[in-house]
Amino acid sequence: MKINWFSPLPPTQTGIAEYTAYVIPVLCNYAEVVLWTNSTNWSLEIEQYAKVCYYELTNIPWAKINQADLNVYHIGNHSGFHHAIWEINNQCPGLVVLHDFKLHHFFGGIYRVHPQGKNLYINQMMRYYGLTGKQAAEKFWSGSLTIEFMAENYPLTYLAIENSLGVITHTQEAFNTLNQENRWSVAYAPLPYFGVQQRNKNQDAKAINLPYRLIVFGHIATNRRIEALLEALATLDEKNSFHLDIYGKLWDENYVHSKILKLGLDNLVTLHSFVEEAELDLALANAHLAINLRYPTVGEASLSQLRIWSHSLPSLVTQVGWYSELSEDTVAFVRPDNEIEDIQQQLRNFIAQPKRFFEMGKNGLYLLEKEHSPESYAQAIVHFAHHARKFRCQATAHKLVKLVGRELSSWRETEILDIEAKKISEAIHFISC
Amino acid sequence: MRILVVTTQVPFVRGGAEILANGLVQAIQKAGHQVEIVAIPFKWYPPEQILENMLACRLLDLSESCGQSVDRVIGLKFPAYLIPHPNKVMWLIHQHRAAYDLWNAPHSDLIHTPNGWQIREAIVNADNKIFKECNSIFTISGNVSSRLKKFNQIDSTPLYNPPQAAERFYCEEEQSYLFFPSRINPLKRQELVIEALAKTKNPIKILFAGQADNQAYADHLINLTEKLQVAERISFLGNINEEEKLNYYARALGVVYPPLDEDYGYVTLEAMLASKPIITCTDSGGPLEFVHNNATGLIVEPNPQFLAKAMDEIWENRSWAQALGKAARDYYSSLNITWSQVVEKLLL
Repeated sequence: MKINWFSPLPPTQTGIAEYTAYVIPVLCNYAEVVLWTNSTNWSLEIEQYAKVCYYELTNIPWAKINQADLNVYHIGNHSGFHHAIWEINNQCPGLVVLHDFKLHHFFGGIYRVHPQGKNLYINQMMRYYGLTGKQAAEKFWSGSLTIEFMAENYPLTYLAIENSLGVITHTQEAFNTLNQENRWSVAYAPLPYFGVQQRNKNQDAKAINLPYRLIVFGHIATNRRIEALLEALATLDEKNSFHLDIYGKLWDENYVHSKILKLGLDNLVTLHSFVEEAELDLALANAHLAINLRYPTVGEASLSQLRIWSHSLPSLVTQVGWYSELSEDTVAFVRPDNEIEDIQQQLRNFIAQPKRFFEMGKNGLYLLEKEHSPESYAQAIVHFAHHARKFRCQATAHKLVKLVGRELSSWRETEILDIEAKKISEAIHFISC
Repeated sequence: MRILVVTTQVPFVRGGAEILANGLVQAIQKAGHQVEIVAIPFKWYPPEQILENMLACRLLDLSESCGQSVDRVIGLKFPAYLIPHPNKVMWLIHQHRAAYDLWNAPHSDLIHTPNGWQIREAIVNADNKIFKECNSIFTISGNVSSRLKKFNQIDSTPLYNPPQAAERFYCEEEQSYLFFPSRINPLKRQELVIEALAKTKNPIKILFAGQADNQAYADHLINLTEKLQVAERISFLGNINEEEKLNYYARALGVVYPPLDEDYGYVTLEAMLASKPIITCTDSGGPLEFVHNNATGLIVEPNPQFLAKAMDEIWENRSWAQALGKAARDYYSSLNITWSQVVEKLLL
């Protein structure tokens, strides 16, 4: 099978580019893959496994794209990385890999910069959510509703996958939601992780010297709950038993830094910013407990969590979305409406029973190896791609049905007879299925 | 019997398909039946239009007319042959080639569209079903049968038919030109002939007869003749009437006809009827079912150098060219291509 793979590519700084870099070498064992990007800059390393083709939305090389059996489109919340991909999916139905479920950030980003963005956005909100959606859209556009509220209540997921032949999700929750709509062919494939074999898997051998090293890493926005974590640490009696290292880009470094000072945590918290992968791996290897809180989520599975498990590291996670699907013997939960108390309680639990937490880390590693294997994931993609191809005819039928409906409704006031509908549906079925 | 011949008509375009349909109707009438042509207008762009045309055909009812049943429908072209009928016979001129053999070809259109794959699958899907609805499946040539087998795994019987006014072709002493009568479009490859002409050693002249499918392509060819400095050796006759055509054939030194994978190629048979040698190419399709290299014509690789060499050979060896032409005529006679045979098979 020949697959076109539309995704951001390294060195673009997004987890999906990183995910592609890991998946493609394995996927190429099961299918011929051509990578498509609208960035002129990509890592040469990935070309060892697949040809990279460049496209521009103003001049899409359809003849080249149509050489493949199926297009696979990666959709995430960053409109800068995924808008062009979504536009191509709208024109040429394919298989969508849904990296985030709640996509209001994505569409907000698209429509804010579009010349007719406001009207287009409000029309889409009306189309998917009715009058309530329209009103919310108008309020959001004028700034009286937050993006977090909109994402939570009006995810716009269906707009992203409207024209798809099939959808792959990385969370059971997303799978269940889409599957019950009965409109798309949906599959669930746990997010793969690569590089487990390189890790030091023996957490017990790690030196347990105080202070216990807590670690947060990645692209750190407000939903990573850093403020709650700092406040929890600041009022924890046992705070001197811990040291928190924060690696990565903060949404507002100055604000976080002043918060740390204000809470008197400057001896207990170190801000590192982005470091080389090897250095981050070393930090993870030396950490005792990862803090991987997310609230609100956009329904994504967490590559960060997989990385944490690859180090056999126990972790605190917020009990929402994909995280809530995880077993309690692999993570320690923090309830989103009880954050500070739960963080403090879990830290006390860690002090009291460090071995239980180390066991949690080992269980996470076991789960990672069992359910997040790259081989299984690649096989799942190809298997589902074969399946999704067959739904191309459904997209044809859908278009013809809409055409007939539009045509008939323009010159008929009454409903069509059953016998007429039967003939039309038979004709459409003949052509499309 | 009451018979309908269903075909597709692109407005303002006339070619072999229209000649065939008319010839069939006349032959069926001559056999004593009532027959009409049902021609569906066809526009293939934007590609969504193809699906709509298919749907429109599928929704038509030709089972009867004015209260009387239609006894037989003969399908000729896509998408008209999708019209349902309980007693349908296919005499396939060609399928929608952009979805098949021309999918990846340089002049293809469907592959350059975002929904090309979707449309292609629908066409193939519908074709696979429609052939199962037919009582019999014939094609106009072995080439079309080969494509049907290759792409749809369907067996069919080629059924040759004579060109229009076959009995009126004649041969006269040749004048110094090669004749190329055909619609003017990239698939017929007038461009290849012009490029070849620029490489000939002799002052060969070519007469192109026929209308261009679009003016832009016609202008392109004219510009090419000027660029290659062969304009004075080429005449674009445009549309010519039947008498003029017979005349040009009769007096030609030979006929050059190198289309890309032609379905059938009336021009080949017309040249044979006029006792003229045919120069064609190894990938020309239909003509290759009738031309035997160095016996009834010349078959060369589709590039300007080889084509130029063939034209020079005909030009320089007039007696030999005459002999090839006579052999071509004799071979045509041996094939016994008649309308009565066609009608007999289609109405069986």
